[in-house]
Amino acid sequence: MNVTSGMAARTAARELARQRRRHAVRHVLARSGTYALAVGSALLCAAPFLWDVIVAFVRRDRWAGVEHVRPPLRSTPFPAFALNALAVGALVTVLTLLFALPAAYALTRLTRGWGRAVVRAAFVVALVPPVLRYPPLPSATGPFGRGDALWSLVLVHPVITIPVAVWLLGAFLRALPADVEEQALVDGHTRLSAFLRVVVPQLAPAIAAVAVLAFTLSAGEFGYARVPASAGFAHGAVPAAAGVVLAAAPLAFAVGLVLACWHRASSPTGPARTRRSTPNGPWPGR
Amino acid sequence: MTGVAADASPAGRRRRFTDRDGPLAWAFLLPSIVYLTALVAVPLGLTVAFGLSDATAADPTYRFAGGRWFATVLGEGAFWRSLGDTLLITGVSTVLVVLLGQVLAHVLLADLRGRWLIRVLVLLPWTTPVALSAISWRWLLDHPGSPAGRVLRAAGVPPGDTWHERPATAMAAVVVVHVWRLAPLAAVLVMAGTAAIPREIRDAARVDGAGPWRRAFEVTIPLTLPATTVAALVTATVVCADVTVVDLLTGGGPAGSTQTLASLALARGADGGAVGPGAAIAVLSLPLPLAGVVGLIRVLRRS
Repeated sequence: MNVTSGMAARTAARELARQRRRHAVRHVLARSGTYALAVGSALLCAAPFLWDVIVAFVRRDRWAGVEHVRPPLRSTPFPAFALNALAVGALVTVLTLLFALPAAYALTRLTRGWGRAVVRAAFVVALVPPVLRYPPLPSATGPFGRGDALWSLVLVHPVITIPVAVWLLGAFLRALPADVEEQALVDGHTRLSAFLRVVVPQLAPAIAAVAVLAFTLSAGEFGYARVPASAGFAHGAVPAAAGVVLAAAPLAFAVGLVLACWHRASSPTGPARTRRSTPNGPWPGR
Repeated sequence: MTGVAADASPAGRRRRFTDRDGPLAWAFLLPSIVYLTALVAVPLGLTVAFGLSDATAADPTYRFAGGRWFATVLGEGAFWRSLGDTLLITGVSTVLVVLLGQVLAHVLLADLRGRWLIRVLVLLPWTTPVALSAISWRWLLDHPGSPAGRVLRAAGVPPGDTWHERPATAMAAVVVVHVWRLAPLAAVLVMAGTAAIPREIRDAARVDGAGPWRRAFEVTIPLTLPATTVAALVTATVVCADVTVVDLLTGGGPAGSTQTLASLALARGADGGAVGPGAAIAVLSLPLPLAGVVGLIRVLRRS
């Protein structure tokens, strides 16, 4: 009796150990499979840029240093290109925020039914085929002359950035509780000053994220710059591998920033949410 | 409670414009609406107008020409060939983007060490300007010593021959760049859909003994179907209206074999100086992306 139960216990223990081993093996296989998949897709996604880095800094299997970075800086008006992109991007970012902030606020807080129709329309605008947004016309027949090419870019780029900004800021706003600005209204602020003094400061991280995004969208926009022929070279075409590397690094950083802000705003356990969702105890009595 | 207080308090004093929600909503919205409408409607109107005109790059005076250019364009082989190419590129890219988007969404959601780095790298194609990535792909494909160059040679392209001189490889390159660029976007959309699945459902499936495959096919995929549909429609809309990739990667060549309707419109109108036919092609290419947008709105309204 004692012997058989001991044997049963031993086989049970052995069976358990076997299953545990099998699970461990399976776990390791699944994990390494996931890692292989992740590393593989990351390399594939970064492939053209990794190649740019290799081409820019390696020459016939040896490290070339900055030898390839100098020519585009010297023989092309590279600084002028960069300055154009920076100036246009900065102006477009300011314009975008000026238009999109009030619009996003109105759509999330002030309108009921018809706001949705406006959002939908903005969505269509954002996806209007590019060929139709910049008609296939040579610059001579376009609405802007050659000398104003950069200004025309400042004017047209917000068409792309405003819908995206409205959409993103709206998502951030929905994550903010409306109680805080309602408190401001109770305290005697008008809707406008509540928006300017309460909502906008609360949105600061979102505004930073949207500004970065608008800037990158503007600096990376190619079609508008290409079509008026004179602006094409002033803005779009960056002629060397080094240029791509120089552009890609800050972009990757920008993406990280946007994602981090997005994550913080959308996660229900994030610090922003827990801090603001405290019930506004003494206020309603006033 | 707060709502009641907010409604009651302004009644005591004069309501100014800055405090009335209705007019303020209009004041906040109108600038954006006017700006966007003007800058979309004006070019659109110009395109239609030039499609009906005799204007050329050399002689931009406007003379009404009726529907002549539309008839000419519809009678051209190049138009129908570009339409076929547009449909082919869009269809193949969309299918591949949806499939790879699922895989990438899995990667983005997986709990890994160094996840931030993997996320940044995976999202790089989506966030990098299209023009930069198209040029980078060109270098990657052009260089015989690069990994892509080796793949091309293994696929049977002789070393002396370049990929953009053969219709098949040029077409494949266009599709590859589109898929590479849009799969991360699809992954983000699918990822959002997956994250929205209630935890209880996944746990219940696990408790009921469903393995990873069964959970994928009977829980995750059906429940992320709306997100996947959105990803597919966005991809199709963007691809069929895209100019930049074709323009920079192949320039529509060899001999117009990778020309899409959008790039054909640009090539004829802006580069070729034939304003009328170019604008007519642009207008005729409108229904395809428009169908995508309408479908997208319907899907979004339902969910």
